Amino acid sequence: MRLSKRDELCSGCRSCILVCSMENFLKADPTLAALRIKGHFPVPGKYEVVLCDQCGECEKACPTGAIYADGEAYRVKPEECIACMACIEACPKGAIWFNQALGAPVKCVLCGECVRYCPRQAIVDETGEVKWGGEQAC
Amino acid sequence: MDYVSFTIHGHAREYFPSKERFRHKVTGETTVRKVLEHLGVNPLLVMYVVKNGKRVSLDDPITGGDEVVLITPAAGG
Amino acid sequence: MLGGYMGKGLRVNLTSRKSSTFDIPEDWARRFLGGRGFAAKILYDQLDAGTDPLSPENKLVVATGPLSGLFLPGSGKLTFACKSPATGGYADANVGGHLGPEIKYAGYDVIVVEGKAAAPSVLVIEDDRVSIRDGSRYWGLGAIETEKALKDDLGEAFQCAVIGPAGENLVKYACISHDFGRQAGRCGVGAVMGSKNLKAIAVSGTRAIPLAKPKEALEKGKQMYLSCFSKPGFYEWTPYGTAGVTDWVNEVGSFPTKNFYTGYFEHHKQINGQALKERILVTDKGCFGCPIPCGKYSRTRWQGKEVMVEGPEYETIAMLGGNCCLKTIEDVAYANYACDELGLDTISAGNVLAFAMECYEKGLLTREEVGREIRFGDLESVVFLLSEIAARRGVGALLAEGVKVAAERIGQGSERFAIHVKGLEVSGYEPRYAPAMLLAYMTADVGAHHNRAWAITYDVAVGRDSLEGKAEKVIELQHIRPLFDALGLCRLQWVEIGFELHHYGEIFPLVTGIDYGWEDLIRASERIWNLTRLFNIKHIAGFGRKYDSAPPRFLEEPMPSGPVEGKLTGAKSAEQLLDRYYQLRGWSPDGIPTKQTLAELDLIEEGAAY
Repeated sequence: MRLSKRDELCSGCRSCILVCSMENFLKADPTLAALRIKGHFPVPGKYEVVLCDQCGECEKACPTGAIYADGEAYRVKPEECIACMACIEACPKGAIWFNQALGAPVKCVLCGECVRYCPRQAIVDETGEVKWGGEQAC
Repeated sequence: MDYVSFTIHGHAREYFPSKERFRHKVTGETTVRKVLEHLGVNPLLVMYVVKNGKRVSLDDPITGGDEVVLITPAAGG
Repeated sequence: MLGGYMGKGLRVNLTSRKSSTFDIPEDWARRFLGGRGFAAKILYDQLDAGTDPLSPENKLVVATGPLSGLFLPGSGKLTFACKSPATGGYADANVGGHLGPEIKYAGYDVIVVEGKAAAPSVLVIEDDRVSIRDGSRYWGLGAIETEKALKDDLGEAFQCAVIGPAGENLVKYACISHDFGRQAGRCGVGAVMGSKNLKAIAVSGTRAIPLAKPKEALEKGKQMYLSCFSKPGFYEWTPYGTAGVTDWVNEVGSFPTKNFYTGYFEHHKQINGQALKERILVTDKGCFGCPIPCGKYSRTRWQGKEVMVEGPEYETIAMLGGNCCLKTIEDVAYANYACDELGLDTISAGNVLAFAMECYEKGLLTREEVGREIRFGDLESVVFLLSEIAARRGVGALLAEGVKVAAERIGQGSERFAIHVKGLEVSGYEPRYAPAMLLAYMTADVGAHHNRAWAITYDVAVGRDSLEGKAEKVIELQHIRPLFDALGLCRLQWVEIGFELHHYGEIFPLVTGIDYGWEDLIRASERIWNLTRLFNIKHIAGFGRKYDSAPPRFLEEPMPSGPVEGKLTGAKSAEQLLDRYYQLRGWSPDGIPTKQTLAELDLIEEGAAY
């Protein structure tokens, strides 16, 4: 799976954020989501999807090995995190967030649910492995 | 093929005799307006007509094999 | 503990500058669900009869619903409620965007704002941290400017509700604005916020919303999204949003035109959804959790000034377009922008402006009184009047009171074309030859608003001369539609693309743990409807049947032009409909709920005083 975004299609509804936190933590809590939507209003009037592309810079920056490669995704072992924020600073996309309640960062693990449930198809899997939910629904 | 398949959408579909989907037998060319009148449905209950994926009017021709979607009116809250 | 609810309310007193929390009783959840139900319960119990709507004693209730902020379609709706400065009765106005969910993430189901701040203030809520801050640097700014400044000052994470100059100056139809272009528009909620010297509420939260059955609620939420994706309306309706209905409303001769003089506007093709999409659209702009964003963010230009505006939505097209006769989508969008920045409800504003223009045409308002010539179809007149009203300057002081009061003061027969019910201006459907729609306006609890029952399709479906089944249909809709405002949801997935209602009955118990199905939710909605009726009886002296009446123009003047020329439902039929409506509701012939009805609806305690 390789996620990419099409900002021009995003309508800012944040369905992706809720499905992300529900799928991975079974909680309705946007602070647990591994992506964000930024609105640029009132001008120029557009949305921006902030999304992890699994570049691995966080893994390189982590001093304790709490971030590790697992297939195509980099994952976090919360128990090994020392909250040094090195990964947060290293992320070129700004797509990893420290969560106080977890005591560790939240990052994308490629579950693909944002691709399935984004109503606008603004997040896509370039490999075609995961498809938009509407394709199955029709 | 001398059936047109219809799908009705929007909350006003409850006012149609058949609910979400129905097939209607046609001979040659007809129009959505004529079909609705035949069924006793006020054509004004249709806001948009989509034939085979394209927006058309109530009076454009339809023939057997066409797939027609009728969108009923709905508005601002 | 119940799921879906945060279980807490926040009470902020701006006079004493103190805040405290209170527990949400489970009984409230079971009887009144949330949102407008909680708001009605709080206001009914806690406001004394005789409270001046613009005094510190009025309360502004900000209420989320048990389904807001969750993973399901359209979960972003929020209710603002108070005693209405427009009608003196119950008021609520709902807004989409992202504020409702954020209030829940901050830990609250409702916020109750009381008292009055000594100086312009901003209420800032970050989870448990509540502060009342100096708001003087925002006072006087437009609503869009204020929101931008707040986000710059506090951070992007904050969701804000703000008022513009119209709210500060207590215009009776000032709105509360959020997310650069969405408004809790109706009933003057913005004036109540302004009367408290409260320029803005900014909220940021980091908590999870509890769920009774998280796994099942997730699966059901997914199923609901997929079902929306499978509707043809998902593709066909979304590109135009609510503006898409403009042509249809003209075809059925119900488009408010020239102060509701007639129901057909010959320039409607220039202000419809297609014109919006082809000429001014920048991006679709969705509310929280919305698969079918009706928000159309646009760019327009007037007199060399380029502006961005969310809209125009259908209601704005009807009221500023048809009703003020603006002939291009660009003009309508600019008038929309002017209202948004000033913090005026576009529905009431379009109605008031058209009333003023008709008064001017008839010589009841003079050039000297107004300060310049005003005429239908002229954007300069529109922009001029809007800024006079927001500042309560010149003729604006009179028009800021709304058409009911303005007509009482102008007199000379202007009451005949003051288009309101109970003091709230009529919204975007001309109902004189649509009996169910007429009854819907007459009986809506907040005054003439279509969001309680949009019944015009029923009129078209079963015949516009017939009265049969119309009262039944209006009541059915008055239970379904406001139910969404109690649950904290948007109704447009159902209205616009035919998403089935049974889904809501299915997800409610998974979220809350309350063993309710759809019928139980509808029953609660009927209970809320009767409670807002009790509120009106308590607060409006002599309230009853005579308040459920339509303006003379709708009852006496046959349609002068358009597809239903010559047609009129008429006063006699309107009275028959009202008789039937009261009978079906279990209300007296004067429109008062009987003791038996209140007992059946489990409103014994609330009804005890009457």
